[in-house]
Amino acid sequence: MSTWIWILGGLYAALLAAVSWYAWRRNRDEDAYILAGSNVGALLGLLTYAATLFSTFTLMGMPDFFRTHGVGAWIFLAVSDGAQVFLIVWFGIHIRRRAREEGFKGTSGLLGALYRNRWAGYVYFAGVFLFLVPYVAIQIRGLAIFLEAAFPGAVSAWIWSTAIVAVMLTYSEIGGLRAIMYSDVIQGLTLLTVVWIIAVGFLDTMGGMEALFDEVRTTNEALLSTPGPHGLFTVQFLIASFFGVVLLPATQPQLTTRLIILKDRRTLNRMAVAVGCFALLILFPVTVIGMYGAVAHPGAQTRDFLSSVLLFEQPGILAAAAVIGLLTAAMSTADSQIFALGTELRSLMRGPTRVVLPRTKWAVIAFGVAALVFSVVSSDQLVLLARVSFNGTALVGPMVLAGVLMKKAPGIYVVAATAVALLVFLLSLVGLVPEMVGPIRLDLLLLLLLAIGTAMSAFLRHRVGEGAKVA
Amino acid sequence: MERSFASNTKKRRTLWRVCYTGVVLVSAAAFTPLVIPSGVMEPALLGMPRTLWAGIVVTGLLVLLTYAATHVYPPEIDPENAE
Repeated sequence: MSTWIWILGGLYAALLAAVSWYAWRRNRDEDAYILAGSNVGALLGLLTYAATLFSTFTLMGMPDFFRTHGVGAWIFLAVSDGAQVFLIVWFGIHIRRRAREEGFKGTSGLLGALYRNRWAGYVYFAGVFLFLVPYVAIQIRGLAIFLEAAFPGAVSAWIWSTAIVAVMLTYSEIGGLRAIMYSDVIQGLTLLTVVWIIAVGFLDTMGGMEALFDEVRTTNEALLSTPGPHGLFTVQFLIASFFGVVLLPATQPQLTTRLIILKDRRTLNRMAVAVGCFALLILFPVTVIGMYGAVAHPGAQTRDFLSSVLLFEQPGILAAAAVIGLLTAAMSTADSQIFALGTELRSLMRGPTRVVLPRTKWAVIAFGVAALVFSVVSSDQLVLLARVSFNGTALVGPMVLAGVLMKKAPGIYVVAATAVALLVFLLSLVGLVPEMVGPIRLDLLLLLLLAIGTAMSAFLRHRVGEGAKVA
Repeated sequence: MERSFASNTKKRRTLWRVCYTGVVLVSAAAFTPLVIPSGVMEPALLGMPRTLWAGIVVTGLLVLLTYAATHVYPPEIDPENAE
C-alpha cells in the first residue's frame, strides 16, 4: 500500500501545485482572488459545491453513523440534501439579485448593506465563526485520527493535523478561491470514485443487497428502522437536523458564495439539480459501507472500523486511493470554509485593496490556526459535531432570508433576536442552559421562534409600508 | 405576443405553486410514519428496509421537483433567458 500512497499522493500533490499555479496566473485582481472572477460554469459549480458539501464527515462520519444508528441516517442527511437543492433554486435567484444590486464581497458585508446596519454583518460573522471553526476542525481531526490509525507509530495526530492545515493554507493563499475550486474538482471526483469502488466490493463480499440487509437483521435488527438502536433518530431530532441542513446555502458562506459566483441563472439551475443527483450517488454507497460495518465490525471503535473498511480490507491501490480520497474530502471542505471566513471578514473591512487584501490573507491563516487548535481538543463524534455546526449556523437563517427577500430593510430587532438565540444555543452546548425546553429541543425551539418573529416583523413592516403609500 | 407571455406566466405560476407545495408535502411525509414508522422494517424492497427505500424515493422526488421548478421559476421571467 505504501508504494501506491507515494504514487497517488505524489500525483495529487503535483495536480494541486499545478492548479494553484494556474489559478495564481489567472488572478489579476481582488475579485478574481476572492470570487474566482464570478463567471463559473455548471460543471465546475457542481463539483466545487458538492466537494464543499460532502466532506470527511460524509466519507468517515456517515458510514459510522449508519453502522451505529441505522438507516434513519438516510433521512438525517439525504432527504435534507434533496430539499436543500430546491432551496438553491429558490434562494439562489434572490441572493444573486441582491448581490448584483448591493455589490458582493461576502455575506456579512451584504447583510450589513441590506439591513442598513453593520451589526447585521457582525452578528452573521460571529455566528458563522463560532459554528464553522468546529466544523473545519472535525474535518482535520477526522483525517488525522484516520492517518494515525493507518500508520501506527509514524507521527501523532496533531502533527498530521498541522501538515494538512499547512498544505491547505499554502494553495489557498497562492491561488485564492479559484485554486480551491479547481482542487475541488479533483477532490469531488476522487471521493465519488473511491466510495463506489469500496461499496461495490463490499456488496460483492456480502453476496448482494438482500444478503447484506439479511445479515444486518441478524446482527442488530434495530438498525433497520427508526429511531435506531440508541434511540437517536426521533422525529424532533430529524426535523431539527433537516432545517439545519436545508438552510446551509443561506447560512454557510462558503456555499452562499458558490451560488453567487455562477455565470447565470441557468447555470445555477443546472448545478442545483446536479447536486441533488450527486447527493444520491454519493450517499447510497456510503449507506452500503455503513451497513457492511454493522455486520463485520459491530462493536469496533470508530477509528478501528474506519481503518479496517477503508484500508486493511482493501487491495493496496484502493487503500491508497482511500487515503488520498479522505485527504481530498477533508481538504476540499476545510479550505473552502477557512477561506470563506477570511472573505467574510474582508467584507466587513473598509479601505483600499492594497491594505485590505493582505489583511484578508492573514485572517485566512489565523482561522486555519484556530481550526487546527480546535481539532486537537475536539472529540471523535464527527457527525454529531457537524450537526451542532449545521444547527448553530441555521440560527442565522431567518435573518439572512429576511434580509435577502424583503424589499425594505428588516428591523434591527431581527438582528438582536438572532444574537440572543446564538448566545442561548452556545450556552446550551456548554451545559449552562438545558437542551430541552419541556418536550421540545432547544435548537428547534430557537429556530422556530426566530422564524415566527422574523416573519411577523416582515409582515408588519410590509403593512406599514403599504399604509404609508396609501397616506 | 403579450397575451401569450401573460398566459405563459399564469401557467408557470400555477406550476411553480405545484412544485413548492409538492416539496413541502414530500418533505413533511419524510417525518411521518409513512417513511419512518417506529420499529417497522416491512415492506422491504430489493432487501432494503422500508425507511431506507422510502427515504430514497423521497430524495428522488425532491430532486425531480427541483428539476421541474427550474423550468417555471421565477414565473414572471422566461427561464431560458439569462439574467
